[in-house]
Amino acid sequence: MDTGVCTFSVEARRADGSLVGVSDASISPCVDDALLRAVQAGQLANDGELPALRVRPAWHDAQRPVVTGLTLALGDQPPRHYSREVFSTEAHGLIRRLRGEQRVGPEEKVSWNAVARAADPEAPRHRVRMQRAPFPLVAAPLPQVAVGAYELCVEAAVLARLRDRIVTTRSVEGAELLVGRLLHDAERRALELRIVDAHPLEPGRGGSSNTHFSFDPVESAAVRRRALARDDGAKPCGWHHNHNPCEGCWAHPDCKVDWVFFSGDDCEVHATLFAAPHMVALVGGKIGALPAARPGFRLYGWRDGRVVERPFRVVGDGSDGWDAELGTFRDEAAAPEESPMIEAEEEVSR
Amino acid sequence: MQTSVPTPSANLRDVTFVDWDGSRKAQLERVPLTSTVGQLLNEAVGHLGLPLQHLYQASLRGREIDPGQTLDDLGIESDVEFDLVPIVSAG
Repeated sequence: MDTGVCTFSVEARRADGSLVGVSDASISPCVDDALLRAVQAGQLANDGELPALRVRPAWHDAQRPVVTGLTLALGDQPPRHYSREVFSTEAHGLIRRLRGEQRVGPEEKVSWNAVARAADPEAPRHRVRMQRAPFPLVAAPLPQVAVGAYELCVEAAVLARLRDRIVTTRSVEGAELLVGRLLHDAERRALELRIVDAHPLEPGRGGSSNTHFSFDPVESAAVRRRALARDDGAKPCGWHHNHNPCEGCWAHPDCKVDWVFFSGDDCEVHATLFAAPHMVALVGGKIGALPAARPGFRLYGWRDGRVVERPFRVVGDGSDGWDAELGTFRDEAAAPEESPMIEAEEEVSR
Repeated sequence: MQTSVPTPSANLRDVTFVDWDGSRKAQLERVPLTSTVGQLLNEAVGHLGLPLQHLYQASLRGREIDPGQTLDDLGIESDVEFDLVPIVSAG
């Protein structure tokens, strides 16, 4: 994305400070964040138009061109600060690529910086016209949402179906396209994303296993088109996938390993397929002390230009028993009886 | 008031890439038919603000396109719109 004055990139450096790799980095998640916030607050029209962009690097005091983040303003909106963490997906992708190419050893420590430099004055190869779709806002009163807040909720029936699927597929990861309504209360400047359904996705050529799910380029686009054709106002709004516990977890319900997290691969899926700022990622699987047969969920989404865990409410039938802290339904959250204690909680790395 | 209409060129096309969620489009204007889809796709990824460390696939009406094919190879006779799909796996 053209910022007009500078471009951002991420650099990977060895422990001795030597440069080992560089990759351009996009500020698009920051722009999207600022745009959604301004539309939510009624400061900009929801017409897909992007006003003039003002971007300034926040320089590291002693290490210019290293930056600690950036400030960004849309049109005459006040500038908003974004930390360098908005580039972490690109940075970790770069480091993974360098390890894959064996330019960095598997155990070698590598750090990363974000840097800003003057934009290349060379003209782009072709003239480009950009278009953005307006956010799929549905006007609705949201008295339950705090003024100015953006809250997320999932219908209980969706979670129940996803839990059944997780238990049925057992040791193979699966994925679904989530659909929902992005409700907007203009008076309260409030947003609520309500997830109402999940369309199954088939794995692509890379298949699926107990540690991965490969997205099929064409099939996933076909599922998205089917979801867009729904006549109930719900639109694609994110994705769900599950992390399977190991076989030992199924055999030992007392196991306390927590498999519900957002991995580096998951960040890449979200940044490339679900880049719109209201899109979310639901992850299901074995949570902490709960047995594998009672999967729970955590929700992740864009905030301040990066993907973070977000709280969510469960709505609809069955919501009374939801335990937000545990990420599952309370009636199923009873600790296993008289189970032998495991000696130490294992740190999971995949 | 008269407006001038650009003269269409037999060897130039407007080529649009749409990101996977359909929320953003980058239209590259007056692209030579000798351009490969891969070259254009790489240019579009940057304009769309998508992460650059990943592989992307272009598809046309549900068909995967070889990035080495030119617009001419594909028999593109008018302006065209490709879907841009990342090749990714959740972990």
